[in-house]
Amino acid sequence: MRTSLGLRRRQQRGVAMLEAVIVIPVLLLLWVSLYYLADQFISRQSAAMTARSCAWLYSANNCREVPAGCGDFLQESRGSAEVSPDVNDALEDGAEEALQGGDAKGIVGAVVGKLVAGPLMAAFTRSVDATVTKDVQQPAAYGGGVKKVAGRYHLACNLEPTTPEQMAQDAWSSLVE
Amino acid sequence: MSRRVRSDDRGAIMLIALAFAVFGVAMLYYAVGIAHTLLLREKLQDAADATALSSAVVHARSMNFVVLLNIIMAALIAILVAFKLVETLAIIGIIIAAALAWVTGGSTLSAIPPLKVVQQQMQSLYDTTKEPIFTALEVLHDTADVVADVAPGAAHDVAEADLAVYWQPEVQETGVVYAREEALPLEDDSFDHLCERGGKLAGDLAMKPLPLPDAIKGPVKDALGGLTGGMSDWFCGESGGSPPSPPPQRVKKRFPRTEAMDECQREELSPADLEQAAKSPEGFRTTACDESSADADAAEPDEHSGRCRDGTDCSESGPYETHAKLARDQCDPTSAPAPHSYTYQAQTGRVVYAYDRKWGWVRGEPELDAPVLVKEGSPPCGPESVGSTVAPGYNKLMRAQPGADVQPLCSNEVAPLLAPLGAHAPTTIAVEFKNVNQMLTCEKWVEEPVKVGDADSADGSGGAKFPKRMKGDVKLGGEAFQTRVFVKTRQSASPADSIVKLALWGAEAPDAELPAGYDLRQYGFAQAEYFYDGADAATQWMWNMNWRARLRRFRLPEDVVVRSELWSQCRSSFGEAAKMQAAMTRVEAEIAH
Repeated sequence: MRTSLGLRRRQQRGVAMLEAVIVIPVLLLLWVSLYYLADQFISRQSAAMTARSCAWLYSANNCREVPAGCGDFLQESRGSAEVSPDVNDALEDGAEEALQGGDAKGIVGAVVGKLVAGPLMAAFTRSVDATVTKDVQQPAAYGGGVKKVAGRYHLACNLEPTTPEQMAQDAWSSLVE
Repeated sequence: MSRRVRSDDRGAIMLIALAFAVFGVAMLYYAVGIAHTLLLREKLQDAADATALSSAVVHARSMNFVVLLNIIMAALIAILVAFKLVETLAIIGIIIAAALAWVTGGSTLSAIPPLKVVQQQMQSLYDTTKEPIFTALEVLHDTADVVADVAPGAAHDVAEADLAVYWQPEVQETGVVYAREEALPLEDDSFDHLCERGGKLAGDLAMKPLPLPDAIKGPVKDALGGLTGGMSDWFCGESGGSPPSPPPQRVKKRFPRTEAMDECQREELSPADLEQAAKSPEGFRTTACDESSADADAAEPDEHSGRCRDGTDCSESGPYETHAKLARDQCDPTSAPAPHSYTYQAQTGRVVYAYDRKWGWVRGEPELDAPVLVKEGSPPCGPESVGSTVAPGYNKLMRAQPGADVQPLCSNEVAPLLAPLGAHAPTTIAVEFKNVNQMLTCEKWVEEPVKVGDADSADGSGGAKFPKRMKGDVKLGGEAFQTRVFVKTRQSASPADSIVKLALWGAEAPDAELPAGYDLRQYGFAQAEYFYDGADAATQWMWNMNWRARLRRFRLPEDVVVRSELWSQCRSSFGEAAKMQAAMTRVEAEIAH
């Protein structure tokens, strides 16, 4: 009886260790994965939130003043969105038809049309792109190193009360650029 | 054996650990799904928000652009007002100098020549600049029309382009931007108002260098605006898009007139007609004029007898008799305007009246001469007041009934009234008479409006020079200013889906709420509006560039039935703007802000 009990005890030695050796890595991997997932999720959400905040703040004042802390993330864009050719056609058709007529209205119409259409379309598509990237440390189990996650936001520039003089300056700036 | 197994606890920790590991992996998978869904939802909402604002911004920019066009129009008209203002001051100066000449013994008369020069120079400048300025005003008005028409379409296009370019791959390409209005809620303002604005602007510029306080400048500017608005004909040239209508002209017209003749006169010539008319003006006729002309030719009477000509349709429904009937009606000398220069068919004759004791004077068979065509200035028939040349009376009824004889318009035949007196008195009397059988034509002076320019100019739709104003029935914050965006994810299922299904363990999903929530997960919704940022009255909204855009808080209907209808539309017709608009219109009243 004693011999049998002693044998059994001798046979069980190291089993817990063995089980721990097998199980602990699995649990560790789970833990690391959870941690990595949370880190990545939080980083993604944080980047998206920063991009969103910067874009909205910048847009709110007609893309004139860069909000504090957003200088590295914002880029103003003009005309990047593709506007339907129908819209362009509608704006230019009147002037072209009038020009074909050759009358005074046609000539004035063509001049006004050319002056107006460019700045108008530039104004329609004036917008801001916010791109925020964050680094996430990859665990060694996933290859190590740093993974970059990005938050992006695209928003049209809102307007602010303005005057014809200011608008003319904007139009001129858009033409010069 | 079984006892050994029961008492053997080797690997027990392993089993528990494995169970926990499986559970942990499942939970990790679930967490990944939730994180993925949260990020996707955020992305969808971002896309919807940004796109809705983009659409509203395009609307707001368009409104500001139309404001700019209005201001440019006022600035152009201010040039004319400035010239007229100086001219007016010169005229007033001339009048004052002339009036003071009585008091000053004529010394102020010396001021009149230079004032006259100034007045003439201003008039000349006004006349020179008016045409190009009016042309520019027309162009600006047309441009504002185009902008107002294309703005919603441009907003839609810009928003869809934004979705396609910037919010891929999470967001499906097709997003629907819903805006109620097909054009900006604008309408034409009056030319007087533009002139008033021009006056204010001219006054503002004129007083800028003067060291006067604003308390004086403001009222002076307003007074000047009121003056120019009230006298826009003088200061700005005209009171609308169409030139002032000249008085109607008096035109001599030949009657009777048929509907074909009126149609011929009304008919507007197409460019092809005009080209043909220019090539061969003599042979040119339009369809209506061709018909009218053929009808008039067929109705033309014989030049001697005034009868229906041989070889033409002389039936009761033929052109001759149709024209004669119309002529009886239209050439009535008592009608207005009074006719003159009559052409009619007269016929002289004799008839013998025989006396019968029982029946009195009995009219015999008349002996008729050949009818003749008569042309004269006075009416042959009619009441005494019109000075009829043949007989009083005017019988408008040509035939008592179809097939009956033509009744004369009037006749001067007078039947004997008294019975023969005495035994030797004659019992027969021959009476000569003259009948007016047919009224054929007459002429009238009629007043007709004079056509100036083309038809478009006349009705004000073309050549207009009006600024734009808000439509009277719109209110800020109303549906006219709202734009709504729906976006749909390209990904139909997230990693979390399988976990949710696993939890159901093969059971059917609940009917109402879960599928609605399931659908909700795939769509993003946002609402934005454009608005006037200021406390000014509505009359100022199109004169200040204060239009902006903002997001509106927007909650979809709570009602499960209404929601289900909207989801059903989303599923079946996403991307088809018309159907989505119809669905939104149905649930619009349920939307909570």
